[in-house]
Amino acid sequence: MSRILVVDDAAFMRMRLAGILQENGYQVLEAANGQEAVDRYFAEQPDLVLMDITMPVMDGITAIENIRSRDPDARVIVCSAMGQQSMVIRAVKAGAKDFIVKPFQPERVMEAVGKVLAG
Amino acid sequence: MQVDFINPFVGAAVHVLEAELGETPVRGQIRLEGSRVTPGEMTVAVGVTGEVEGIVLYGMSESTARRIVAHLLQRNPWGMDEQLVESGAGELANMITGTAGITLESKGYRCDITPPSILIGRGVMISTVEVQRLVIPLKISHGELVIHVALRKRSDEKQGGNQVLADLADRFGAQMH
Repeated sequence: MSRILVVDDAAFMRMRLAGILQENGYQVLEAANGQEAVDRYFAEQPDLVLMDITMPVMDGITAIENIRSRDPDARVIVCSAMGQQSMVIRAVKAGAKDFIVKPFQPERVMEAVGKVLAG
Repeated sequence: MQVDFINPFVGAAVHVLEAELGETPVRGQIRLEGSRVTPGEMTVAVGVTGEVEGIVLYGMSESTARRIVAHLLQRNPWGMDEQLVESGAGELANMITGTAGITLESKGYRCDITPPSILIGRGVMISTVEVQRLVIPLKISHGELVIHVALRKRSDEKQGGNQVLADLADRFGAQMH
């Protein structure tokens, strides 16, 4: 069973994403900001990270850069309301494999997760 | 200047509410108000920085917030703790502001948003200092959501209120207070 680290400062959004992923058979870990995500990533080595961008303490782009500087094979999908072109480019440059724009449909999340985990 | 923000925020709110709640909000009359406001029982504030800057407030009753979040999580509205309701209301505001940011960037106004802050309590007065608020009332089956957009272009000189009012009246036939 693949383990996915869900990173979002909103408990509401972590709950929603965790629900979708667990319904589809994934094990879910959670972090509430970028710094927690970095710490949890290296402590627990999840198969995939779903990362928000706008968060306190450390934003998602910085967290992706931090994770991928130490683990270049880390698989990260960004899930953010900030879907403007410049932000998508920043996320991809940081190493994100896909970008899900909120609001999203569960099918979009599962498509991205399936594709990145298979890649 | 505020007139430029009407369509991005109305469009964003309609898109997010349709996607999340499956219903199209009914828009009330858009108006321009002064800097001081007492928005409602629960106010979510999202800061905007970049080529446009300021704050966007989302005012609603606690009951409305509770019903919206319950709908999204498929839960009993009265069985959720306050933190979850606040988190959900914050995320809704985050999604609307973020979606508006996509449109603003496509119009040449690149901007970033800050994590939402929540103010709770009746009678709280908030001032957006020198920035007038564009007020967008929306009705949905769960209650009323009022968006207060207090943004300005970073390099803008202060624009006269009368000119803004005239622009609003010309373009949207809005009622101004």
